[in-house]
Amino acid sequence: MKAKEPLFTGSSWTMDLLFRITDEVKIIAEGELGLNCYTNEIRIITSEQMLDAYAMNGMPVNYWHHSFGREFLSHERSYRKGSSLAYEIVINTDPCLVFCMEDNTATMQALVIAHAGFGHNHFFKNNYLFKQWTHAHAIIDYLEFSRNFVAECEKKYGIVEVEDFLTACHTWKYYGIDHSPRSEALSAVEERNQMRERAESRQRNLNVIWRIIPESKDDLDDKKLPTFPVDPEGNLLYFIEKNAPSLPDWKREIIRIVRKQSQYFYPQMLTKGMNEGFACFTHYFIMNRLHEKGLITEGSWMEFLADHTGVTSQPDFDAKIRVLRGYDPSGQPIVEEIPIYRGINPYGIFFAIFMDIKRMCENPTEEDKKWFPEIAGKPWLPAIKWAVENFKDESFLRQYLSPKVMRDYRLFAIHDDEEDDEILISAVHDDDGYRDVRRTIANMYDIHEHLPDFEVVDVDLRGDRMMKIRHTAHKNKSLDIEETKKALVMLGKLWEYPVTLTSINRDGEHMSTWVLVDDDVEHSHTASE
Amino acid sequence: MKLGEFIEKSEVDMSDYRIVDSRKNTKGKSLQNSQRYIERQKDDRKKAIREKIAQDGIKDLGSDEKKRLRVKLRGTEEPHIGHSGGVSDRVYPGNKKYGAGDRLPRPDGGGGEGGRDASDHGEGDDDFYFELSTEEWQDAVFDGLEIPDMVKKFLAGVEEFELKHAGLTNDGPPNKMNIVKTMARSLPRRTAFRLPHMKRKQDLEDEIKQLEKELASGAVADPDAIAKRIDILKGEVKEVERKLASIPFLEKHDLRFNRHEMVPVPIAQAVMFCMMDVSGSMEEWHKEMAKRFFLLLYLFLRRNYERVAVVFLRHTTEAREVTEEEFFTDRDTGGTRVSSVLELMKEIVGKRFPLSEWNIYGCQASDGDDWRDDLPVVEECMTESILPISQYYAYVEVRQTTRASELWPTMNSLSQIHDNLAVALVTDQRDIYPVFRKLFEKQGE
Repeated sequence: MKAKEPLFTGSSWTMDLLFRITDEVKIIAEGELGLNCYTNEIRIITSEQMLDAYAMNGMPVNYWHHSFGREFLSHERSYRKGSSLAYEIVINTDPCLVFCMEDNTATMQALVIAHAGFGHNHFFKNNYLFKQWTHAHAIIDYLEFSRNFVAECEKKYGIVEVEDFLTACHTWKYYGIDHSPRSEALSAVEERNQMRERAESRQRNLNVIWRIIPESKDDLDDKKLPTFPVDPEGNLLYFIEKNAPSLPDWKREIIRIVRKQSQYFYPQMLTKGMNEGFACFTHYFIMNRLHEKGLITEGSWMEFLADHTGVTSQPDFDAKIRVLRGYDPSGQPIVEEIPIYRGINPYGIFFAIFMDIKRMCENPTEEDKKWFPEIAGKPWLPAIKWAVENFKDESFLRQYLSPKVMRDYRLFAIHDDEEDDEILISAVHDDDGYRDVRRTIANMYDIHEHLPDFEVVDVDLRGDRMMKIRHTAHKNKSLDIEETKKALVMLGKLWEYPVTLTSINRDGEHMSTWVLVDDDVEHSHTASE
Repeated sequence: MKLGEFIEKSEVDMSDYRIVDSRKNTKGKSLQNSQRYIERQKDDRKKAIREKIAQDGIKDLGSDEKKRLRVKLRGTEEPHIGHSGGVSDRVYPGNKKYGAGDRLPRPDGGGGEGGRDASDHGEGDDDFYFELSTEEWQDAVFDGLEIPDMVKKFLAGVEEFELKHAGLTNDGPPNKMNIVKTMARSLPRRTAFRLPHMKRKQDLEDEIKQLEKELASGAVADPDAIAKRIDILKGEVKEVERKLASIPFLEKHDLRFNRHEMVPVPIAQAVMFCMMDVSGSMEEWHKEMAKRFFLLLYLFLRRNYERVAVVFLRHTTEAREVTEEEFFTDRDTGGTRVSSVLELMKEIVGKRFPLSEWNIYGCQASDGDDWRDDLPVVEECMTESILPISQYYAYVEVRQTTRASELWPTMNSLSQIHDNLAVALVTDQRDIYPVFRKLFEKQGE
């Protein structure tokens, strides 16, 4: 291997240098790692444009809405106060849009191009959830359409009317997601064939003997109207879009727009940790190789390590920093301790797991062979790619979190029951606890941990068109009463007729009920204890 | 492809990516969204301001510190659908001493933190803080208030003119010359014109020096020719110097003059008469209320006029003009004759505040006590002399009882006839601001 001239020595960059950096990064990413990416479109932007991108829900185009304005203002405020912006934003499109900040040094540009342009990009193109749910080539066109459509509606029906309707949709946007694919609608021909087949089969199996059995009286009484919908529907926005009794068409289209955006972001919700972890793994590998090849200087290598460590560090749950707040009258320093734990850093632990997979492939220990016989000692690159392609955060943790990483992170699980004064340490990083810790942390990434489970179970078609929603409590967690009231008012704006929400626990017992009639929500407990 | 191995550039397709410098592209994409948000916030802001006024009273209304307000955004919040309580199992990093089965007391507040961070679902915190400077604060407080009849005075008042700066011209009297702008044009012109001549002069002088040196050394073939050459060169230097001197310090097109325009200004001064009954029946509480009302009025006028004069008049049976301090602190005893203060006001206006230059505002606070014999005099005085000259006259009665006072019926009936008289009753500290708003509400609303 021959050492080359470093690509750059200072921190400033030119467009020409970016091309040379990207070439070298690409050689490693596609040549050595064999990543399969969408064509990259790297855009250099200013901090103001970065703030814009933040606030647009991370989309390059979107409809106007005041809530994006609120986002923008609060980001702007914290930026003015001194918090820093992301180095890049990457969007799951084809070609893949990578926004890099102009303030980045040359080293940082190399890092973000490797991280976003190849790491995230490969993830978008190859992970099963993204393949299933997103159409990277079509999203920009769809966003353009939705912006124009909403703007058109605003002209016709007024900004406030449209915005308020969007607010109601936004409230329920996580209930505009399909968690499993819908079956394709049948074409007319297929439908006809199916009908014919059914008739033929009935004809074939016809046996007149059954005719002599009289219909029982009970059967006649039970012939009530079937419930509608026949099966409970968890995608509330979809249900309302298709079935709201008197919603104008433009409102249905707006529901659809919000629903589509939610669905587009659904894979990102489920793979946030893996996506970042893999992007970190990619940039770490590529920067290492650039360094080995002599394409970056020792100085920029150190700069990279400092940034990388900052991004992937995981403070302990009880970590505090001490801040000097001044001096008291006697001259003693006044020190304030500020807790800095902000939850599990996805950049940290998911990166660690990817590195750990590589380690287990290359240098397996006895423990690894026992825990991960399918990858220990095998080629690392296919193992990593398999993981990227076939998992989401929850299943990835369940599959790949090794005892070594649990020990390194000193992970421990707690059991917190609100009816108990104390919390219980349920498992720690030892032989008895590995599986429990792993199961518990994987469950934290289960979407139902955060999204209460709502389903439309019935609509009173013959009466007042009341829509009945059932909430099945996850681990007996109840809903926040006041917020749920407000959310129900929003739902009423979509359905336009009365709505009830009934909370039941795992055993099917009623917990509480909310009833919305004419913009007014009543809540009652039906606690069975 | 040899995965995981060293790869040469030729083995990877290098043509399929783009790098675009988008920095020149439109920024402020969020402007429209932000404006919509601020528009939405307006009502909530107003509400927050009202609430603050109700809470804090008006005593720090005049203070100059920034006001920090918290707004709960009603119109714009998106409810957060989520769990509360129940059972949760979480994992934390950084175990130091715990073993499985240990029990520990629940730390305050830290409950759901670990779990929440694993997802990016909404923050649920819709509270927004905003800060108002003194100026903005007062704007907010007085929003929707208007000095009654100000328009009338604008139209009818004697027009005064004021010179306002209105850009630059290249012609004008010498006293209006803008020296800085003029010099900023003169200097580069001179520099530009001098440069070739200066260079030429330098060259000539160098040559002369050279020739003189040769001459002095004596090692030349033809001294005369050189001396002649030197003379010619010196002549040329003189010529160049003449040209240099001919470049003018200022030229016509360097000149820039300030331009001013005459702009009519409305009468921008007001005098406010604060009148208070300080007879025995007025207690500390009454005065306190009256003072707050005067303070509001003062702040209000100061915002609307460039100059506001304040005259403090107090009365028992006799009225006299006092300083602000005396007005609020000293205490007199005796009976009450309201007409005395009205007469004094009329007298002072006549002497010191010609109507053509001043807007007159009267504000009277009283507990409503008056001699019964005085009432007709008050009525006459108001109708004949005070109301015709006043832009606005506010009568505020401060009392804790519901029993009608002597003065109230008189003033009240006058206010039915005269648009520029307003009467109001304050019985509690909290009334002051609403009463003030009511008195000064924009007309026609």
